[in-house]
Amino acid sequence: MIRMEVNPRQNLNQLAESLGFNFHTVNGDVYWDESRFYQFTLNQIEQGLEDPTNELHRMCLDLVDEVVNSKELMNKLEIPEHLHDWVAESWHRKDPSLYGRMDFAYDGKGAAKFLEYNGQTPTSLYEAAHFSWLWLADMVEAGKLPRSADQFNKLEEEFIHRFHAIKDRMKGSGEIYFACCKESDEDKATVDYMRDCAHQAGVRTNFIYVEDVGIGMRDGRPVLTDLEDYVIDNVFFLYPFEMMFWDEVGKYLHLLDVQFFEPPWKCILSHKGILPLLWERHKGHPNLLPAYFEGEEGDDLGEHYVVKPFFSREGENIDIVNGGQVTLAVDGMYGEVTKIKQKFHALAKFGDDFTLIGSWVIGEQSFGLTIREDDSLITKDTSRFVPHVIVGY
Amino acid sequence: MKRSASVKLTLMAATTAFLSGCGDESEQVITFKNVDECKSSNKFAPEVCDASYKSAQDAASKELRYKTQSDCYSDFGTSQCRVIRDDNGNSWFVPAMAGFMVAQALNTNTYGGMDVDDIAEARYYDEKRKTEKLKQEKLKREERQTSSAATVVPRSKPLYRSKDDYGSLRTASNRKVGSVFNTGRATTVSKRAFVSKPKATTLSRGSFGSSASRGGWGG
Repeated sequence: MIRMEVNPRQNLNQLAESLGFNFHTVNGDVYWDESRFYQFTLNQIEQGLEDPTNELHRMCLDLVDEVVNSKELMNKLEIPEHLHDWVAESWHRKDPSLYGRMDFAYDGKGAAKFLEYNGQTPTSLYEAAHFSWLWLADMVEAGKLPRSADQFNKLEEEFIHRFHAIKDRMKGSGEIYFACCKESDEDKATVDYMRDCAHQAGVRTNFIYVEDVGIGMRDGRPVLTDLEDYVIDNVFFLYPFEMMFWDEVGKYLHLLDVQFFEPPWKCILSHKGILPLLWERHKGHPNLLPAYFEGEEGDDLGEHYVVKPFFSREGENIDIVNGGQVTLAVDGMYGEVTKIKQKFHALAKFGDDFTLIGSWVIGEQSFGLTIREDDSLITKDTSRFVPHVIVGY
Repeated sequence: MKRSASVKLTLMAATTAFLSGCGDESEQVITFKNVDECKSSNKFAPEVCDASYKSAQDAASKELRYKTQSDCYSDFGTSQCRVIRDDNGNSWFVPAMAGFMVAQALNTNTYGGMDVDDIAEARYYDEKRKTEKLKQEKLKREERQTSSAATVVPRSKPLYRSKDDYGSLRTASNRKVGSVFNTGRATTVSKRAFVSKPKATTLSRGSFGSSASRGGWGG
C-alpha cells in the first residue's frame, strides 16, 4: 500500500458537474482529491480487507441474531422497549438490507483493525462506485496507469444486482422512495445514485425529503404518504433509526405499514455497542480492538483509548484519551448519551495525512472501498475522498 | 477483475436524455363509457369486454377511497359517490366509475415482448445467455397466446369524471386520458397510467426529521 502523486484531470470540475457530482469541493475545500491515489497489491485487498470484511459481517449477523432474541441486550443497546418486537420481527422475516460500510485502520502490512460499522446510512457511495471507476478508466486512457491496473470496486454492478435480487420483496405498489434530509448535497447525491441503480434494475423509484414525509391512514393502519398523498409502500431512509426513535414518529414506528430500507434490524449494526459485544464474543480476533461499555472496562483497554457515543455520525462527539487526558475531541450534537471505549489504534499515516479505509458490504458481501484522508486522527464528513488502484499481486 | 465491467447513469447525469422520460413509455388504449360500448365497437371480443369491465370495476372500489362523503363530493360532485365497506368493516366513499380504458397491447409483464425491466436485466446479466433465454420465453408465450387467445385479458383501468372538468375521463391518479365525447377510439397514455398507486389522507407531516438539526445524516 503506497500513496502516489499525480496531476488531477484538467476538466475535472466540468466533468464532475456533468455527472451530478456537485460536491467535489465543499466550502471551497477539495473533497474529491485526485492529486494522489493509493496503490494496493491484490493480496492486500483480498486478504487484508475483503476477507476480514466478509468474516466480520458474518460475525455481525450472528450478533444481530443473538441481540434480537435477548431482551437484556436490546435494553443494553437502549433500543426503545416498544420497538423490540418490530426490530426482532424484521430480522426473523429476513427483511433484505441493501448496504453498509465498515471502517478500518489499515496500512497494508498488519491486520486491518475494525473501527466501526456504519450499517445504515453510509454515504460516499457514488464517489466510490461510479466516479472512482471513471477516474481509473481516464487514467489508463491517458497512459498514466498500466492497462492491467484494477480497482476494488464492483459496487455499481453489485448494487444493481442487489436490487434485482430484492425486486420481488417490495411491498404494495412495488415502488421505492429514496429519502434524505434537506440541505445536504452529499446525502442527496447518495440517494440519487441509489435510485439510479434501482432504476437500472427495473425497480420503480421515487424521491422525497425526509421532512416532507406525511403520515396517513389506510385500512386502519398508519402509512407514510408523499406530497401528493400517495402511499409510500417502500422507503429507503438516509436518516438514522436513532433519530426516528427521538422523532414524533418514534412512538408508532412499529405500527407503520411500510417496508423500511435499511430494515429495522440494521439499527443494531449502526450501533457502537456492537464493538464491545463483538470483543466479548471474539476476544483476541486479529481484526478487532479491545472495546468495552463505559463502566465495564477490562485491563486490555489500556490507558490510550477512544470514547464513542452509542450513536454517532461523521466523527461527532468522539474523544481520544491518553493517560487520563483528552488529547483530541470533536464536538457534536450527540452529547449526553451512553458511550463505549475502544482501544486506540492509530490510522495509517501517509505524509501529513491520516488514512481511513471504508470497506463496503452490498447485500452480504464485500465489494469495494472508500478511502478518506484527514489531517486529523478523527475522520469527519469533510475528510477528502482519495481514489485507489490495484497493481500487481 | 475486482471492478464492475461497466458503469453508467440513467437518471442522475445532467447530460442524459432519460430525465423526463424514465420508465414513462406510452402505449395505446381504447376508452369506453360502458361495457356495451366496448362490445359494439368490435375492437375486443365480448368476453374480453366483460372481463376488462369487471376488473376495472373491482379496481374502482379500491383505488380511490374517501373517509367522508363531503370530501368525495368536493372532488367528484354531488351524488357521484357511493358507499362501500372494506373487509375490516370500515365504510368508505368511492366515486362513480365514468368509464374504463383497455390496453391494446397485451399485458407486457405477462405476455408481451421485452419491457423496460427485461431490457435492464438483459444488459446486466451475461447478455448473450439472457437474450437467448428471453427469446425462448417469448416463443413460449406466443405459443401460449395462440393456443388460448380468447382467455387472455388485456389490462384495464377505471376512469372517472371530476367535478371541475366534467368532460374529461381521468384515472385515479388524476391523469387525463380522453374526453367523454370521444370514447371508443384509440388514444395514447403513459404506461404509468396503469400503475395502481393507492392514496391515503395525510394527517400530519414533519413526523420525521425533527431531530435533524442540520442537513445531512449520512456518514
